[in-house]
Amino acid sequence: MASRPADVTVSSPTEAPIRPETVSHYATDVIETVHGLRDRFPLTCRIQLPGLDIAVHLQDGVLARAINENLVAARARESRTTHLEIFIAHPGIEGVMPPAAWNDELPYLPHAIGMRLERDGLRASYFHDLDHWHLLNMRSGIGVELMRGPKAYPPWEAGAPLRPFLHWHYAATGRRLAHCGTLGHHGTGVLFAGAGGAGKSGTVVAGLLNGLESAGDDYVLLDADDGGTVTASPIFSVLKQDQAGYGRLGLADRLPSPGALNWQGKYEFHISDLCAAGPAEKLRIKALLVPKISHEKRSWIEPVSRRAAMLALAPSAIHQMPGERESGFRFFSRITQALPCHVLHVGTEPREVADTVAAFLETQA
Amino acid sequence: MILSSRFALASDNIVSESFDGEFVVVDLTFGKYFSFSDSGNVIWQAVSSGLSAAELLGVDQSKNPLLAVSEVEAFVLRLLEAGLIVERADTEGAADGLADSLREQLQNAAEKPDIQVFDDLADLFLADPIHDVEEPAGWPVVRPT
Repeated sequence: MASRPADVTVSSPTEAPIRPETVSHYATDVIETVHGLRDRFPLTCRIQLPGLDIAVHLQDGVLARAINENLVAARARESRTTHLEIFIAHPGIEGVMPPAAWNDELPYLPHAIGMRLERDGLRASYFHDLDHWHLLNMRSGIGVELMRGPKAYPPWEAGAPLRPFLHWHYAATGRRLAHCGTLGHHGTGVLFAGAGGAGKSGTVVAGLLNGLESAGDDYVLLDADDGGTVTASPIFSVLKQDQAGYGRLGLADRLPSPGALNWQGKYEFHISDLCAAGPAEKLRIKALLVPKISHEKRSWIEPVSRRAAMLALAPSAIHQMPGERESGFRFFSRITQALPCHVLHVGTEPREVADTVAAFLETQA
Repeated sequence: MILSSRFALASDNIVSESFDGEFVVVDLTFGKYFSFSDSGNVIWQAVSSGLSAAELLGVDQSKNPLLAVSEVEAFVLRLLEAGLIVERADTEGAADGLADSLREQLQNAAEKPDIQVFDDLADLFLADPIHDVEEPAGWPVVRPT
């Protein structure tokens, strides 16, 4: 991609609010301009993820710490690894333009806009409240997270930094960043799918506290080969629990100083806080479990239809991510069709929940 | 009239997958998910494959009163209203073998034709400039006005 000279100063690439017809031009212009300002970014964070090396140019601060602490570095480099170069930009960095606003008179229809961008080899997502953009040129592998100022990012951004870029990259390579939890033992695991509040995170924490391993909660990288083998790899290390869950799971004994509550009113901590070995390198997934909080003392697992499992997995897994919806639907259909599907009725005793999952894993080995 | 019409998926944004014979259909633009009763699954497969509903109605209704013509007609109308299918101008249908197979499945159906709509996430797709973050969705959703 041709770059502008570094001394070009641009106040705003477009004066007019962005419309569906201009979003590709806007994305291209911002990416080109910010890439040309590469030397003005004081810090570069590099991280190796499965099949992906990323260099992130930014200023020091919360997002830099989040990239260093919340992403899980791959232990080995895959033979086919590609590269992304991401700029976290704002007008406080000399020459960076303020983000343009979306035209309020037009609905922002993410799927339709995503299709238009895809034709131009681009991806974009937009958060209206902050005029906050993620923009990626898929051909060059250069992306920009453009915001009004160094702290003008959505509250969920620090917990899962770079998420849209990772989503776009992995979707294009046939993998999927999925809104799921995992638990496993000796490299074999189960996937937890369901809407927020279904019991995914509590189950993952209960398992980690009682000897199981996890490739992640909230978001994991899923891969499915043609033979029906499904694997989950860690991308983010963050676990979350609200105050009630923190108490119920006995986390206060393990982590007496959990820090401040996040934007959801939850404590954030890491898999390595509960499991000395850290996140599992990779889990071979043997079943898809849909957690349901039972309020019973004992947990139990019973089969569920694939249709019901798909309805638990697909909506949040697809729609918490910008774009790639049809490929996401097909991908999660393949996962659901490849795996045995069950409901995990989650009991009230963390150790018993973990034992139930461990015993189930033994039957699936 | 509607029973003899032939249909097609309304657009490329309507996608459908079968899970052991049970369909999940999603409208990608508006984020609505749909699933069906057992007889609804059969009728969906028929009409989305180019068969008319009338081609399925060789079913002996005395053996299966759940499949009254009015029920089948109402179901097809709901598919139309939901924007999942549109009427086709051409009249070419699907293979006869498919109709025979589906007719047999329909004969054994235990539920009347019905459609379930899951649209809790629909607002996410219409995230217009007035929205907010809502737990547990954790993603921009339209703020109630």
